[in-house]
Amino acid sequence: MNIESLSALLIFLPIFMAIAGFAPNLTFLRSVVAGMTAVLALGSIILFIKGPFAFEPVSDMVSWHSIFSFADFILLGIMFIIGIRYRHKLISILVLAQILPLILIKFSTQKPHFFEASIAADHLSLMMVMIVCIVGSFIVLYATEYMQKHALKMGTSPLRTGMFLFFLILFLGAMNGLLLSNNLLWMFFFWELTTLCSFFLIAHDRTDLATTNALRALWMNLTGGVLFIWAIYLLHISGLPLEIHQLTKLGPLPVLLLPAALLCLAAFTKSAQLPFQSWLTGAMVAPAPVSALLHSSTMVNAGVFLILKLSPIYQGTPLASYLAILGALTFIYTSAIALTQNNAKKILAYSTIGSLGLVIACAGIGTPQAYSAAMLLILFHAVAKALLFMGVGHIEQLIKSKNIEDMWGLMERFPKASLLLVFGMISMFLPPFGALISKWMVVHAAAQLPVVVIMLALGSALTVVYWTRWAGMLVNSFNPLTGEQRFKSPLFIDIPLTVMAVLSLALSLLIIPVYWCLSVPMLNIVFPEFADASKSGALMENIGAFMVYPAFLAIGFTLLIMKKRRAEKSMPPVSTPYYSGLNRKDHSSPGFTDPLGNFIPFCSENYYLKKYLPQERVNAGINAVAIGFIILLTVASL
Amino acid sequence: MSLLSDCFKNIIAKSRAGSPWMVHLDCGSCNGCDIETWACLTPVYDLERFGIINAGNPKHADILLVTGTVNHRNRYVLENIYDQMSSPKVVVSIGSCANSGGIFKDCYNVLGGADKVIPVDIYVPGCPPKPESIIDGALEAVQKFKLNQEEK
Amino acid sequence: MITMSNFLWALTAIILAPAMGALISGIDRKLTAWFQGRVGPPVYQPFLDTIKLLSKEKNIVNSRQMICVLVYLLSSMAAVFLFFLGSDLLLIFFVLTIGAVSFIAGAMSVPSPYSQVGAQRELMQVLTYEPLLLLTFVGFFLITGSFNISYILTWEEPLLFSMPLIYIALGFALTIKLRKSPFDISASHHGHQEIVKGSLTEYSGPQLAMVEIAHWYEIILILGVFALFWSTSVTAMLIFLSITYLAEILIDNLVARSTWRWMIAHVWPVGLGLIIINYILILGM
Ligand code: SF4
Repeated sequence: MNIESLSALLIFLPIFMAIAGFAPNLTFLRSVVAGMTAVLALGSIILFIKGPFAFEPVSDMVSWHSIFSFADFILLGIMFIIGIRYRHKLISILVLAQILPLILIKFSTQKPHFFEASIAADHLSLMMVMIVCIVGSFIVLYATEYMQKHALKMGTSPLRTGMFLFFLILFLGAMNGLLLSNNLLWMFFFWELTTLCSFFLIAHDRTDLATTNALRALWMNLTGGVLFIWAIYLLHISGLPLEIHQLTKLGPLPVLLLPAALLCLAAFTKSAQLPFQSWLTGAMVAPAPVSALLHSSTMVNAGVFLILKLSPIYQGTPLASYLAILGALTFIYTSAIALTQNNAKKILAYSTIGSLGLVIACAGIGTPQAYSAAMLLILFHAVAKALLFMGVGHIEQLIKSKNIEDMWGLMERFPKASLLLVFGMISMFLPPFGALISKWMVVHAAAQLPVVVIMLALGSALTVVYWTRWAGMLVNSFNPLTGEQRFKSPLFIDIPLTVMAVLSLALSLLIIPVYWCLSVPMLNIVFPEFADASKSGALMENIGAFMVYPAFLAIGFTLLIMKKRRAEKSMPPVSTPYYSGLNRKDHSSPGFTDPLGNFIPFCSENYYLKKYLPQERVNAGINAVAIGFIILLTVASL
Repeated sequence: MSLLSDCFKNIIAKSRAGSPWMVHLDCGSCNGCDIETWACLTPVYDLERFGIINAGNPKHADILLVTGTVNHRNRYVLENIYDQMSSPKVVVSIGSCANSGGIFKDCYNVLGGADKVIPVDIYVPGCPPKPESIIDGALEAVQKFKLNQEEK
Repeated sequence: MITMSNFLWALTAIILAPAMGALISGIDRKLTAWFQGRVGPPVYQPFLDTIKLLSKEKNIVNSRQMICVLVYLLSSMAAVFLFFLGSDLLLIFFVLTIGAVSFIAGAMSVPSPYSQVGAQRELMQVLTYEPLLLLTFVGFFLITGSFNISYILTWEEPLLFSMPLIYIALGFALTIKLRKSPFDISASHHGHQEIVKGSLTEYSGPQLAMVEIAHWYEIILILGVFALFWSTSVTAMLIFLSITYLAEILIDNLVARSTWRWMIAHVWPVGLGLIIINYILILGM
């Protein structure tokens, strides 16, 4: 299969397959989705193996460019109608603010742009395409099971569940399109398409809360869209090319700075960076597959993807330092707020925003090391977060609560699901897992910038605290419901979860090959002067991953010993916790007997430090600071 | 081979005797014995020079010091604390109350002595016993670790 | 660079470290007793304690505890190993994090109120010392331009002169890490058991011994980090380390335990302030 048809397949297969979401027959739906998963995964891997490419799709019958123009207007029309329908003036205005420059561009009298290659991909895009295809498809698979239960709980009609799956699958195509398009106008179309999908998916439950949050997500993302299209317009009127490859070849030109800044700000909205973070945390009302697919592992990555792509344009300009600071600021803010949360999905959401902030900080730092750290972080974060969101969604359906305080002793009740969840958490912040290796590279790279590194240090300590706390309560051996049968998850929830865990483990084990296949080729392009250094192997010292293997061995060894010992003894541990000698006589469940003879069961809660970090005030303060930085950033790029 | 294992056993016995950590449980004492027990920890008597630490936690302790008469309410606590100590462990009963019930022997609520509930190794007489004799009792109990070792 | 001799050196260190650590904590106890006008236990007391604990019966609440404590021990061993291998400071930092996290997870895995309180406080301690430790390492980088220990050791003049304030901040961090007064918040020290033994409550016998051994490794590691401040001559380094550790023991005996609120509210601003001022000095020079 040639590259043209392969990339067309990756974009259009999900878009056409989306209809299958309406299939009434669950088995049929699942087989279609499973088939699609296989095709997409295989396709993306083949595409990756074939390496970077660029081409201009040609066809005798139609002009792709005019199709996209039409589609643009249809899309904006739909969003305009949404604005009218929900009487949300801001949305309508924002849509109009996008239609205007679009018309100006389309009907301008300037000589039409010549597009060399509207579709192009480098290793970054290919990596992201793989994430979308593999992680994304498994999440869709998970959704087929999840939504059955969800529909029962919410009492939604099969038609609406079908709609949900339709948009979920459609999204995969939109995302692939976004990643593969080199033409900014095309990218803009897909950009808006993901916004629209996100809106429908968040609003799916049709509760008031869902609608409000969906509208908020829509207008914030539309703001990004406005910035995006105006950036294109600016490029257009100054007669610059509209292709990313061409632009990055130009390097840091003063005239490019303002469009680049606008595009970066657009990326900020998509990646829910400060001060636009509130749409992502609001979006957590959506069902778990949405959070897993759109709001952690793929769609929000579109923003950082764009920023990384543009990095040659702003390298060495003030814009870069502002990006670094804003990214680090986002990281420390989200880590602090996550500490005060007891809603599982909110914690994950804040951690997602923080990780994306870290990626943006890397892009701002802009050394080869930072760049590869950013790439690895995107990869590992996507896999781990998909696992965590799916796991939390599953647990939420089982215990009917999102509050982490209700998760004490979950390991006793749902051993496998909680084990996977704990694994996901560990892989987010502990060595030897990939996410930490990339964080380590970030600190290495950021060490020259004390301002950034101080924020990173504080932020990362905070992340350690909230992850440890959560993981610790999951492994607690307190089981409030004794005698309950050990639970087994349904197959279509178990498989995606396990696959993600295995993927995360395998990628961490293979960090050196992954680094060589993903980052090094990309670095050679972005930092040409670096190409020689990478060949000499001097990099191995820096990545230091040779230490990863011993760590893995040690852990594996430990587990093996434990297993052997368990098998040898195979008797349950006898001791009871210390309760000053007042344990219940039959030791059936932990707790103590008070002087009146009543049994007081074990209960414990975490510190949330809410008093020290009052969310409203922190929010207001940090938003003001962030807006200040954004103004500085814009001014600096004028 | 046996020489090595003997040597090994010897070291273990020495360290057990050299580092007995204690936990103290008041089973309804008049506090007289308790105060004398705590006096042992002060710089004047300095229990720590024998390696004795007041662990305050049965899970860490080797010696259980019991004071007081032991009554129906707290016999379960005494049992429980004793069970939670990991072996090898010894019990020292301090004062007449813990030894036999003392002057409260015939009270309706009193069991009369720790040895009604758990096996006691050393009895320290007195009402209350002097800190010197409490220390002596603790060290005497520690010798049991060595004895146990030799018997095995 | 990793050479054979380096490797052997690190291997030796990993074998000798616990003995050294035990000796140091024995001296610590003797000195403490002396400060309090007592005779105190013999210097080899920690050895007796640990051998005794190792020979005791195993008594655990759940099997996760064992895994956690083993990971804790392994990670502190790995940290010492990497340190003497002359490896990357950040790597050591992250390896230490594994230990801290797994220790807390072990304490949290038991449904016991004491252990839970201890774990929560330990979390706050981790929160307080981690940034200071990391920023200290960055301080080394700012001066020498490398995170590599073997490179830092080759630095010509004692680093203490260029980062005196960071040294003080590190002192805070390490007092917390070693759980010495006033920061013996999570696992109450000998004698005073307001939360019984905090995060250590549910460990007994061999498990407790492993925690103890891991602690010795940490002492050695910490002294190693302090040694980086004065690495030009061995004698000077030894004197410097003794003074540092004596100061640590003195503070341990002089001050009462603080609360975690006090700890965060004071150590963060003071520590960070010192570090930032020192950074400015370094960058300004
Ligand atoms: S033995 Fe004497 S001093 Fe001790 S508890 Fe009994 S009455 Fe009190």
